Amino acid sequence: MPFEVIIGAWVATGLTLFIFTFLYEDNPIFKLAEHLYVGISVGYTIVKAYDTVIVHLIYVPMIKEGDWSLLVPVGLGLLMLARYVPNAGWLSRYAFAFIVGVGSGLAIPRTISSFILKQVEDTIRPLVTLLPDGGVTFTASLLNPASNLNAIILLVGVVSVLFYFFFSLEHDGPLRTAARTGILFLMIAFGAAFGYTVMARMSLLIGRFTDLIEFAGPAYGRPTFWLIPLVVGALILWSTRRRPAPPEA
Amino acid sequence: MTLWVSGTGMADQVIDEIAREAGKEKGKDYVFLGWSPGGSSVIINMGQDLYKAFPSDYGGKPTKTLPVLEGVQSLRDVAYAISLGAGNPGVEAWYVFGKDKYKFELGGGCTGVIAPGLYPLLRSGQINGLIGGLRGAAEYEVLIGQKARAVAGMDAQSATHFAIIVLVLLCNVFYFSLRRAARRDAGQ
Repeated sequence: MPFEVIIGAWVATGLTLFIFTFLYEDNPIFKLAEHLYVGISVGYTIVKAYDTVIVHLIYVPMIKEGDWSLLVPVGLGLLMLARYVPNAGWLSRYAFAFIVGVGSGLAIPRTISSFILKQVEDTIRPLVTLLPDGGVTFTASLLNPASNLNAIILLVGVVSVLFYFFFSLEHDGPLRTAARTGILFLMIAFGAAFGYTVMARMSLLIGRFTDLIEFAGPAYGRPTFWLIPLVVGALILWSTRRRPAPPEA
Repeated sequence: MTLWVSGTGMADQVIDEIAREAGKEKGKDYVFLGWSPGGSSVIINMGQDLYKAFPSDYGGKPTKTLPVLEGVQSLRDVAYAISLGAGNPGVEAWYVFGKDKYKFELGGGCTGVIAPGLYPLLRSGQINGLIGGLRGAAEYEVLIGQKARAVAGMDAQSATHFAIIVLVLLCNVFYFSLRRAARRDAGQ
């Protein structure tokens, strides 16, 4: 087993246990791990951003390869920093206007196409048939075993949920029934989302426990067995020696 | 390549590990391009010119000299892309700014939290494969006949879900019995 892997296993085990101490109470060991996480994440991001942007995307192409056209985006980017100069703050508006304009222009048509038009098409298409003359005929039939029952349920769900968010007419009579059906579909959707969220959080916990079990092996020097008593001991020591909080006046 | 800077080191490690297992050579059989700033716009940049978005790979080698990228100029030359994501930009961004624009096939893998939002894309055929959360990972392991950590984790998952179903039922029972008791008290 390489030495750096063993060191990594000890660090991972220790930090995992440090974080788990929060289950007892907020404490200095947890804070140490938390601050390390934030500090390392920010440090890593800054170093990667400097290396990727300044070195590989600006310095090398401009200075070494002579691609001076990059001065335009660099200048536009630098204009953003003008916000920190009170008298020149207005210059940053050009950069922001460019970003918002380009971003909206790229995102809006593609998002409408991908998430609205394509989804509307998929909701309706299984229920209809396109005729050779360009017309459309409704072909879905519950009496036909080949008919797509899921597509009908989806259509009912989509229409009823849309009715639920349709506030121009009072939800009364048939509209009330449609809106109530929409609520049912929404609840099912929220339930599914909640179930998946539980699964995701449990997956993280399973991952941590899997590592703790793996690192309990002799190949890594059994860091789990050594560090659990140390962390618990440190927690007990901190708990017994801390000063009681002063009574509130 | 990654769209999130924080996952870059981990991605490099995992790709190298898998390549070692499969006996593949870096630069010749595969390349890890690393991270480029810009989020979703990196995908558009790659669709126009891959080498402008990534002039060098993660190790700093010029991408134009890599044998694995021979004949690849942009995303238009890519047949299939797989996006593994935990949020945005992720699988959705790859569909919206990648597949829909540059016409390649797309599959995805994601955390359980965002999986429900991606299933509509799978159903409509906008993406043709999805590994959704640990359950998806377990299904994938069964599919390729290599049962490992995801399948092992499913017992714990099932137990947790069962416990939560029981708790939800219990809470509902308490809720209705308390409501009934309150109504009875109000009636007296």
